[in-house]
Amino acid sequence: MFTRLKTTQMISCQMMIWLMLSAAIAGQAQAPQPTTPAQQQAESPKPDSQNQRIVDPAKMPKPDPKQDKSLSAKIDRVLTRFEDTKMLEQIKIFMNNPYVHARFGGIGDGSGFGLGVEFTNNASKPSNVRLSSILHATFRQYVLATAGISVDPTGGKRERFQLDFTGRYQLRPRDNFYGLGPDSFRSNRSNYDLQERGFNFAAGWKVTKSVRLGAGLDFSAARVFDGQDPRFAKTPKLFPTLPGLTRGASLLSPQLFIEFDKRNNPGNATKGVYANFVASSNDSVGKDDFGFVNMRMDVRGYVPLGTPRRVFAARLIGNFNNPKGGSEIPFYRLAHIGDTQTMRGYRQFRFYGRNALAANFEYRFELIPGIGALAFTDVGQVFDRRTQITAQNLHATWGGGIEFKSKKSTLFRILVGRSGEGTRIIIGFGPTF
Amino acid sequence: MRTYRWLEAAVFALCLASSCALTTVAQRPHLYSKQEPIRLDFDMQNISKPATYETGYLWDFSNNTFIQPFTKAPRFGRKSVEAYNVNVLDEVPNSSWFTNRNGLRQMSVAEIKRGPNETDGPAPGPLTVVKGKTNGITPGFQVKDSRGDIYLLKFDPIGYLEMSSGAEAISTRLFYAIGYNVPQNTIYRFRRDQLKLDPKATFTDSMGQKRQLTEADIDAILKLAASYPNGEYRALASKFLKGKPVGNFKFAGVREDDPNDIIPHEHRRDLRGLRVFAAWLNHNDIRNGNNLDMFVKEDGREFIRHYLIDFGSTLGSDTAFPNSNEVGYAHQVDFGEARKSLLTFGLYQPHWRSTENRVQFTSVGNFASDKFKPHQWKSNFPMEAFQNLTDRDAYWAAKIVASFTDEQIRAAVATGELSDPKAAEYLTQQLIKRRDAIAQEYFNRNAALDDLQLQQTSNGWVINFTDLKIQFARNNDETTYEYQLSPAGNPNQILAKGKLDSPRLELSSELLRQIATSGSTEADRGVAQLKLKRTGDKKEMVAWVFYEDLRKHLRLVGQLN
Repeated sequence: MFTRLKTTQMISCQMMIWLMLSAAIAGQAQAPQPTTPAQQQAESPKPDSQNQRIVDPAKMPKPDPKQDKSLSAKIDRVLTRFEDTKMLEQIKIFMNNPYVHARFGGIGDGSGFGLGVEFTNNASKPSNVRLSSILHATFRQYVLATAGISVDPTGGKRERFQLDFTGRYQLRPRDNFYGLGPDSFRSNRSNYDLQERGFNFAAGWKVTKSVRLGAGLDFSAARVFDGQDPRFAKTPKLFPTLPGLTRGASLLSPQLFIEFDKRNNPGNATKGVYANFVASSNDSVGKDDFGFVNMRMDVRGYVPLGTPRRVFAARLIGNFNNPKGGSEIPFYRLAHIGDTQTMRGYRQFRFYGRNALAANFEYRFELIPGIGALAFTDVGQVFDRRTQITAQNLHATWGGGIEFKSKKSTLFRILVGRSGEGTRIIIGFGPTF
Repeated sequence: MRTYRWLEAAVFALCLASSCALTTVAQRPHLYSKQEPIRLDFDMQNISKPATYETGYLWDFSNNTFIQPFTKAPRFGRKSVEAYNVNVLDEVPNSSWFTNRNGLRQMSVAEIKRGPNETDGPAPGPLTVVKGKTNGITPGFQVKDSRGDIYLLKFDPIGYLEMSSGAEAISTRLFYAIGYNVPQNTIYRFRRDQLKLDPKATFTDSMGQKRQLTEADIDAILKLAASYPNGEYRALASKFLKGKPVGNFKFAGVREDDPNDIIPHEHRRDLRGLRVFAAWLNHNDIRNGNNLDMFVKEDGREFIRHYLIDFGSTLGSDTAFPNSNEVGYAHQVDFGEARKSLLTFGLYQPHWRSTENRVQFTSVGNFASDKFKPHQWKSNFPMEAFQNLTDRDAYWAAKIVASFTDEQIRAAVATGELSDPKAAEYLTQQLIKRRDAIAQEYFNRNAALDDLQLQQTSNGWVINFTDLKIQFARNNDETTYEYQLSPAGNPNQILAKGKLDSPRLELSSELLRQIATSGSTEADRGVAQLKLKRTGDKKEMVAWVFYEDLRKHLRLVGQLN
């Protein structure tokens, strides 16, 4: 009985609502056109062509936006006020400023969203010397400050030979650590606070149009403290024996690199290959016994599928560390996977190990000019010895997303990654690869 | 319980149907009047000077692409709202927005070429540069000629000499002939030494900083401009409009500080129909920022006249480049196209997504007609008035487009002064084919039986009409027609019906007497409703004729296609 009554009442209510809606729609449709031209003509038998209107002004009252309380009117008012500020145009002018550039997004994995500013000398004019200084901070309290000079003795346009010197200071207060090896426990999530300062000197020589050789020297002095994310354990407490934990490390690292680039558009490649190999020898400065050789590789390929608007892209990344003698490697300099670049369904820095190997496979297609979609799968693992490379230790993720692009690069992306440990949403600025 | 679910569904459907019916009834306009049709919507009353309202490109783009489509999403029945500013003949009366020109009376070739021009362009001799052009994407500056007239000089991009200036000159003539208010735009050639710098000339740089214009700035601007091999520069000289600029008009809403502006712009037929004209001329960059309201003084009255300006992105030109293949086929951010691509996982690849270079003549840019589908044409971003275009609006616009003869189009193209005759002929042919495509598309959506001519004969009256579909297709096949005549006040009563072998209906004296005595009210008395259609065609044209027995005179008092 109760159900029947309730249903009947619901029907009555729906009828009322629909009739009211119908009347409202009819009224709304009628309201702006209360009299037709013909009716008006009938009402004014002697039309004067000098003052006749096609609709009756008396029945077409000027809308008073302040009196309209509807949601759309409120939105309109807010938007109009925003428009009046010409804020978008001001932002555009600001973005075109050759001396000051705004920076959006994070400063490395796990840093979260942030804002920054870069000061340069006039970027709009080619110059042999380019000065740059960056200050960038995120809402997760990550901070990056750099100052550098880039010199191109052969001229600002050709970039044949380039010398760079950059000093840096960074605070990374919430980096994750789950333990070492491919089978570290998810429940062992901890976080540490890394504070690092250093400098980098690099010289690059463009041997041919697609090959670049270089050498450099990097100095890094880092200290590790308790992580500042109170939701999780502090790494120094949970893993007290990690190398580099108590006193940090100061490392001097000469390095060599070679880069091969045959992509059609480096920031938004649809065809070609790219490869980068870096080797560095890292030795501690001072009393600590840190010493290791690090080798990194990054190989990418892009194949258009019938049209440049559909592309298959693949990347192989390797990070290999070999301790010198009985020396150790600071734990934060170990290879890791699980970030916005490698295993995109896992939390950042999910797996640490001496070595890491990961591959990305992406199917990218254009939705409309400037907006693309992609589906991806990532596989990878960390290992100490080659014998540890097994199918059981291999981790895989998959997902998809949307990318917003300019002609030169990916500006912004939203990805959803899925792994055995859950789903991650990645919002980032710039391309994945 | 299950029964009540069905009952609920039935009630829902009933209510839906009732709202539909009510909506339709509420929007049905009155259709005829014994008064003369209104030919002038007098929106030129004296008003006090309004504030200046300007819209920037970013706002135009963001608002129309991301905000309006969602905050003003077409609600149920919205599409059936017909335009407000039409008379009983379903035509747009003249106003401060629109003046019937070629659609009303065939303009001569000389008139087409002249367009809105008051002069032949800047007077011969030196030009004084008075200001650098900072808005828009083409380089340019303002100059004053020896007569004291001020012109804006805009240049072609390097590699595409004659493209944007030619497009703008041609489109100006055609938009004028259609009926819009447009500035005087002429092709002008000059040498660098003709330019003199006004010491007070200013320039606003990319940082928004206003400063003095220098000779170096002029050289920098000219460095971005295409020139002839003999060093001569070619520019589009746009003469400053009379009156005071008071900003841009919008494609929706009304201007609150203009008492003359009472018809919501999204319901103005001249703005809805602009979509058809824009499709013809590929005016993809149509937006608030490319309109201008001028506060003018005419006949002692001050009011706002509404102009379309800046046609650099018409025909094959996208101002600084030739059109990309997407232009006209997709909005800059087109959610509908994105959805199709997403659902097909990127397999949906329409022809316009090809990266093939389709520029045949650099002076024309990328302009073609072979795949042109008028109703699918899109401007850079959706405009509310364009979204409201109904078949009747489109039919009105299509009639105007179809009114342009090949000779008139050729005359308009000649004003672009393209050096290569093959390029000019190519452009002419594309415009002709696009015109035909528009006529075919929209004449097929309506009865397209029009241009009723009433003629007295010894036996009564004859109504001659034009079959636009047949006329435009230049097809003289043996089409027959059906007609039905009823009292206007009682359409169910049939006074006469039958078949016609030609577009000509004879009304006998007896029938006219019946019409004269029909009708129970003053408004209906003597008025008959005439329905005309092609045999086998569902679409019909309805007209209302008024017969005055005393004067033995028959008059058209309403028409609807």
